[in-house]
Amino acid sequence: MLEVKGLSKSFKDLKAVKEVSLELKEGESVGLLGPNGAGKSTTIQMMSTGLIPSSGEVIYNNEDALKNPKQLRRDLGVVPQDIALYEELSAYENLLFFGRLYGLKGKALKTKIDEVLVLVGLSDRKKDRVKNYSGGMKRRINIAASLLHNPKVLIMDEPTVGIDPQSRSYILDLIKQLNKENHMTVLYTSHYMEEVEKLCDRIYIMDHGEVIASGTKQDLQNLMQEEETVWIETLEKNEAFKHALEDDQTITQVIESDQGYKVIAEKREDLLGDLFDYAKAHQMKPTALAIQTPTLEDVFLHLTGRKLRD
Amino acid sequence: MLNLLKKDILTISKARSEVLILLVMPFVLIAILGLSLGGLMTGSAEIEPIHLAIVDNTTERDGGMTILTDQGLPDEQATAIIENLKVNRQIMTVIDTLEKEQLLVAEKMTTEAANEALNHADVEGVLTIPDALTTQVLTVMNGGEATESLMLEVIDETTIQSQVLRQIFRRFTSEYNLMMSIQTIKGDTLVVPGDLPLGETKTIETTTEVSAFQYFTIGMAMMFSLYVASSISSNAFIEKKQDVLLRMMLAGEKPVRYLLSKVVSGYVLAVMQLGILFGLSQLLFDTFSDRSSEFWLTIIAVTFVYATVIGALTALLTSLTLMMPTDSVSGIFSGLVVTVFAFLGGSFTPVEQISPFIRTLGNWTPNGAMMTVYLQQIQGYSMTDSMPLLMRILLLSAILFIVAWGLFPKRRFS
Repeated sequence: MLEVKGLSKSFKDLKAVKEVSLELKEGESVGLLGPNGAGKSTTIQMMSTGLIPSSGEVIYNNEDALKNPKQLRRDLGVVPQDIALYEELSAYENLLFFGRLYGLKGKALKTKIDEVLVLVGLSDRKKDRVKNYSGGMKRRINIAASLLHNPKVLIMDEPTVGIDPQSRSYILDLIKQLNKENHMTVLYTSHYMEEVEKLCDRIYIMDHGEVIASGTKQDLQNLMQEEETVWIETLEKNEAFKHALEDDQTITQVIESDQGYKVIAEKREDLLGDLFDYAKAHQMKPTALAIQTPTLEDVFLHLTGRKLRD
Repeated sequence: MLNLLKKDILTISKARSEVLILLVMPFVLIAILGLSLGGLMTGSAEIEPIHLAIVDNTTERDGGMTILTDQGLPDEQATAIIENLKVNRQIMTVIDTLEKEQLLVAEKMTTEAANEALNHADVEGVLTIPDALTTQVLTVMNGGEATESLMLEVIDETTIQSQVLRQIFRRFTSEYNLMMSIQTIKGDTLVVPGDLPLGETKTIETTTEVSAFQYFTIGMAMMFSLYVASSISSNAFIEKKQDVLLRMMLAGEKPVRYLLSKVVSGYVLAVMQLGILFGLSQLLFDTFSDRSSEFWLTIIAVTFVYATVIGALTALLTSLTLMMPTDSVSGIFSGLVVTVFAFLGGSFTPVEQISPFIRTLGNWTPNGAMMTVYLQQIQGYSMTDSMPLLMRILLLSAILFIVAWGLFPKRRFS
């Protein structure tokens, strides 16, 4: 349905996006996962024809969308990372404005506005100025503005940044509904791996302007089939213990957190026993030790050596 | 287009800070300046004596005695009439009085010296008394035509000094003309005098002085209208930064329509702002009392012209803003350019009192040129007199829009 091939973008000396290729099939939900500055926003701006790429192609329904962007733009809903609304105007006034931009008018426009307001759960606050909304409400009305023209493809750039857990949950359920019930094709970018895990059928992982891995969640987890993630919960921290783990040739990553240590190591039978021995040798008393299924966070760590939110 | 225009007007009118800058601040300043500087503008405050050069070219001795004796008047009666009529002497009497009241410093000069003094701004005006003026008065009184007349040349018609000089000169000529008319009828002569050879000036005749409230209503309105342009362009920057512009572009909005919408928004908001300011000033301070409907129609026409340049300026600032990564253009314009323009244009003080050069420079700023036009109309000048400045503003508007379109980042919309 929508495909990009070898997409690159340079800003003076900075290569923001390098040879990115990805594809959206009709009705699927695709995640674009990567840390801040990975090039996700630039990629989707080019995909939506809002930014001219330095090189590469954007193909929509077998047509070059860079040469003829009209059809893609008509079928596309874009939810920018920023709140792309007029804060001094009410939600209703904003939706009137954006609806008219898409050629809607009269009763059809008003009906559509009421429909999207119900969808994002803001019907009762439609006359309030956007600037008086909470962060979560702003995000919801930001989504509503991109749904007015019944888009077939919805591209969302980190739509849950900086909002409370309830609003996030509402938005994620809404996206799931749009994808599963309204059959909208969704491209969802985020640096929250749990959101992408929950929403997306396929995932592209980006770092430093490149796609470094792609596939279903299982495909990506399989990248770590030679490795194991072990969680060691401790009451105290010990630098010598951490160094001992890091010095072990079979352990690839040691991540310290408030409650203990996460260790990614090669799969072997005696791994847990060795970890107990390290703890004992450094007078550490682990309160729990557990082997975990690798998360996308672990996959990213495995691929880049960095955490997603570093 | 209407959708974009409505959005611009709504976003600005609903923003408290914008309303404060565009309406409240100028109105408060009009009130403060009008009340505190009212004395200066109405003449109750002390003003510096006016320097006037007198060029008296009178050489005639008998002052047209033969005209009277030819009509059969006895020599004694003719001499008495001539003594009464001598224009140069009467002018000098008036000037002496004004000098004693320290309103005027007059100095007799040759034509060359007087012109030089005027060019160097050593004097505010030159009064030239032509030769045989008394003879010409008598000629006109007997149904003939004058070939020369009294002439007042002033350095700049808009200065307070020039206005005072004109008023003195006008009063003298009207009183003299009236006196001669009465004398002619009393003398049982059948000739009704036409225009006596008195009263020609090189400046434009005005009828009304400008009050402090009028001056500062115009001054503040001209200055704060410039903020309409920076407010709209600043909003354009937010549209770009927050990806609203991206949304518009993806919705198929055309670049020319977007830029034109900014021009129209600037135009409409400027008209609304000026209308509100003039209206409030009239309502609360009776600024333009007893003015005819013709005057108000002229003011509306002039306002439409000024709104045009504000619209074009809005387009230019919008283009520049969209080119830049920060909102520095609107910031520099509202923080620095408006202040400089307001000073040069004379929004705070009549700059001709400081320097005629600044006045000239000010007339090349949109607000300064239009301020001159508004003041001219308040003083009763004809539209023809204001036409050169109005044409300058319309030309400037066209240039600003062409430059704005040239700079507008059209690829963003492609």
